[in-house]
Amino acid sequence: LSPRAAMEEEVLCAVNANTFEDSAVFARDRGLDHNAVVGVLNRLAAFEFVNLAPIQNNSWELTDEAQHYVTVGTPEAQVFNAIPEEGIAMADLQGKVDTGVAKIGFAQGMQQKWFRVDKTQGSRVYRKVESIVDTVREMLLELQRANGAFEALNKANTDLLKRRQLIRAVSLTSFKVSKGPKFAMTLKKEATDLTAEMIASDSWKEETFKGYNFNARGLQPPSGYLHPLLKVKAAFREIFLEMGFEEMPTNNYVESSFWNFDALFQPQAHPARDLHDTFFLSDPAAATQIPEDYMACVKEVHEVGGYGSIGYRCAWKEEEARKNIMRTHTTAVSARMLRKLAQNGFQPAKYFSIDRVFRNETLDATHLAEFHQIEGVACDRGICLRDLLGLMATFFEKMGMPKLRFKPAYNPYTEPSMEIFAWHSGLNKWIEVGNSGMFRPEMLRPMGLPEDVHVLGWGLSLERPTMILYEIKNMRALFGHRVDINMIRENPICRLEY
Amino acid sequence: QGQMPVIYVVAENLFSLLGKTLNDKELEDICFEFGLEVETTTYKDMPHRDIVEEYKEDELVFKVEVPANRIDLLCVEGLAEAMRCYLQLAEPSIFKVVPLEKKETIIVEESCNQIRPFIVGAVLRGVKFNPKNYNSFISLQDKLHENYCRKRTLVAIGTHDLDTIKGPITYKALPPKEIIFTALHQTKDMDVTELFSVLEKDLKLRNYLGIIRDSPVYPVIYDAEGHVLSLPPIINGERTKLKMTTTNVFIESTATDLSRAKANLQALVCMFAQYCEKPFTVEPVEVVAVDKSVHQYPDLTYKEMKLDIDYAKQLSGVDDLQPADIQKYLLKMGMHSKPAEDGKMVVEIPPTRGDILHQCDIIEDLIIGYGINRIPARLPKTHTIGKQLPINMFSDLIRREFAFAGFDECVTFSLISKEDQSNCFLKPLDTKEVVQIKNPKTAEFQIIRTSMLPSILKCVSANRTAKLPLKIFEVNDVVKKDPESDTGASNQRNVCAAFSNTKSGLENIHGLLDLLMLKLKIPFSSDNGYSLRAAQEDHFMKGLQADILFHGEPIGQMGIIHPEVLKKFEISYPV
Repeated sequence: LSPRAAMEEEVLCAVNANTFEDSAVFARDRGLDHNAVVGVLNRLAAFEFVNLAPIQNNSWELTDEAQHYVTVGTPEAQVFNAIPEEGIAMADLQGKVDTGVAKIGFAQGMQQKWFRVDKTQGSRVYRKVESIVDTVREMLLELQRANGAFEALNKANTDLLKRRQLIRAVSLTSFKVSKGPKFAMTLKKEATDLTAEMIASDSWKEETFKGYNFNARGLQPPSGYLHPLLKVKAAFREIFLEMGFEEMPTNNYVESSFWNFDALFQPQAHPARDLHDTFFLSDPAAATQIPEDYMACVKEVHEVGGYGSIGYRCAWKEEEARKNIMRTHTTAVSARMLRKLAQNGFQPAKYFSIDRVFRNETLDATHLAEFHQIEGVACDRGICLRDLLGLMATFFEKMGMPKLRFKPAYNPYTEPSMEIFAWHSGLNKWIEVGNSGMFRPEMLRPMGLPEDVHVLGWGLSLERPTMILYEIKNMRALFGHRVDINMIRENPICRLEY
Repeated sequence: QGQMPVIYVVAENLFSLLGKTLNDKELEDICFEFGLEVETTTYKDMPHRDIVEEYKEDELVFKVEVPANRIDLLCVEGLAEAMRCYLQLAEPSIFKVVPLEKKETIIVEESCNQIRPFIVGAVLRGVKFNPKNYNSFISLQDKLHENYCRKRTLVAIGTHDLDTIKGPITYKALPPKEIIFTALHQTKDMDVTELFSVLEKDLKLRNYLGIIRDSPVYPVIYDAEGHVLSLPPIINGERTKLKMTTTNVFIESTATDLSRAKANLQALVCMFAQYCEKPFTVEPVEVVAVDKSVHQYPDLTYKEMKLDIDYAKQLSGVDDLQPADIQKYLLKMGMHSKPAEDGKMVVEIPPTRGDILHQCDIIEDLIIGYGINRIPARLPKTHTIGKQLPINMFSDLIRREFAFAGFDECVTFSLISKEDQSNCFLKPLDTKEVVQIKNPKTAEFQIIRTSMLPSILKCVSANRTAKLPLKIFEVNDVVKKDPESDTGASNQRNVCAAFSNTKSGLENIHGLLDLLMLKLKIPFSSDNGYSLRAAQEDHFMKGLQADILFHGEPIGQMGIIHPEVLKKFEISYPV
């Protein structure tokens, strides 16, 4: 018989004999845990085996400290016992009993005039009485015997114990138990699950099933989880694919300054080319292969212009262009793709990529040294700003941002350039969501693209929309080895609805 | 990328120059359409107050973010000029160089070619300074120095009181010991070596010392009496310094990039010529170059550029643009234009607009004048088929299988420290394989990972309080040196997974490998599938590690991470 079943049986016997007056008494008399008894009573009550009538009990409970004194005596008694006939130096007393005990015990004993101190011999303590009665301990014992009943001690003594924090008031609800409408001496065991055996034997017909606990949490299925950043990346890839864009091969983190800057008509004196902003490589420090004829065209357009442009009119150094860097944007790959397009005989194209880019940053809540850039590029003959606005409208509407406005901006390789702002209904304000523009002729024409081919481009970071979507304030909580695995496990699916 | 310059303008000052008062919302909307970002703040929060002006602490101040190419908007004067035109309150100001019989002359000596070859100059005559415009003049030079002049490396400006200077002026380069003068805010003559040791303590100037420090000769500008005007690009002389009482301003500007120096000077003088005795005029300065050719600066001619209306329509998609509309919109943007005989437009580019290189730049202004947000959107007719990059598609399929198998995905950095690498592999860096960063700001980013194992171990370490077992993976690129690639390095897509529990349980990782191969339909076979072969790496435990072979060739490894490695990563459970 399980302890629980044994307890059930005992309870039912007592109820049957009409002797169950108080569950607290019942538990104490049998040395049972009252909570366990109440558990059993509730269960029996749920089956209407018994009726419960609550009884409020207020009583004193001995604190842990008091429990201890009941066993070893109060501090004052301990100190008294530690003082020999011939007295003891105050300092030595500390060694014979615990410091805390000595302190309390000495103070209490002095109050009771159990000791005297002789200062002539350098604070020596003597017994003042021959023997003592440890009254406080007696009180505690008394209270314990009376199960903490309020009436066990008079007010003065109660106050004394309270003051010394030896007792505290507790209130307990116990129950008077009587037979319920369905009282019986045995409680049938309930089934929690329907089993195959029950189905086979038809025994489910006789079973009572324990009600399911709808307040508890269910069992979590074993599973692994995808990273939130890449879930959002997947959602953006789908948008591009739905819109007919082709993914670019962006799997080259190392890029030459040539493709990253020069090909984009970014002047060699541009601040982005500072050591301060960009990771340069010490090994391999320089790119070995740059198409010579194309490089000559790029040099010319920078130095003296062409295609209707006056150029930057300052010296352009090949050495600077060959410097390898960690690419600062995926537009370096777009440049490679556009040049390939020009070389292979122009065909209209729409490209996209979502991949890593690098900036020589000191990390903080909104800056990382690497992050993901989302980029879209569309090129065709006669394609224009209106088309760019149309692509933006579709793209951001699919992201759940149907309301856009554009601010003119500056970008060395696009003209016109625009920052994209979207109305965020949750935040109730316009937020900047990306950059866009039309690539400059100084970038496109040296590649060999025909004059009437225009190229539209736009970009945004993957981290920012992810942080907004999942309400993550610190970028480092999203990307990198310090990310909390539990965040990944609990992170909801990505639906791009702001 | 590339910080946008920010300027602070006192509202009252802006509105008085503009001749119109706007409320915050109006100003914000106008600026937005024009391409400026505005925030309101107060005088109290305005940085760099060099000269005390009589403003209340809570005086309204606008913080304006200016596009990096528009150096003509870096002061309140320029901003007001642009907005006056944009709001059609006035026509663009016309800037002129007054013809002069006798001009100030700067003679350039050959020694300058060794360090800072170019110099340009101009004179502003009869300027009336007050605290407002004096402050603006000083702070514009700061803004130009910081942004367009690339922290004085490309161009540096020096402004002087012309009445303290006796021409002609000489620009040369000398060894620092031979240059002796009293520099701005100094009390005695010093040679430049000594001066540098003093300026080393100057929080602002010490940033520029490096531009010339290591050169055997330093650039210096002398007047006819041998007084030093300035030691560009570092500091001016005390003797010729500009004061609020100065009326005739001499401006010199030295450079390594002449085009930029000219554009910079043009913008600077145009902004402040309005305070001259004859407003909007500038007096020229003559520069005698090393080859004895004579050049006059500044060049305030309005260059003509042709604008092809059809091209403008093609680029913008606004099909009904008429010459009159173009005239109107360009005038809003500060540019006069007129129809030409060939059906195109001739546009006069103000000398302040060094950013206009091609007619597409004019078209952008035209579009801003028209209003970008007025242009109707449409979808392009370009028909293309969506297509995924095969390797990315494949990676995504593998990622999903790993997650289905109960592993959680990590996304970690590609850049790691050399220490991470050596802690993980217990051997020195393989410089034949590893790509190294030259200038990382922090030691965290010294190399690009050649394996994802260090990152995964850092992940395990950072998640040491997570519920065990910890099962994580990453599918991502590593980078290795590659002579075949045009840059000398190429990416490689890898997968890495880790299992960590109170006991190692290598069979869990082994099982994941088997699952991966099952999903890829690769049989367990040493000839035509995958197999395992005992390996001997220091970072795995002896006898508890294997090379993963595909058709007999190693493609990966698995094993129990050596406790020495775990200790270095502060991991207390087996991995």
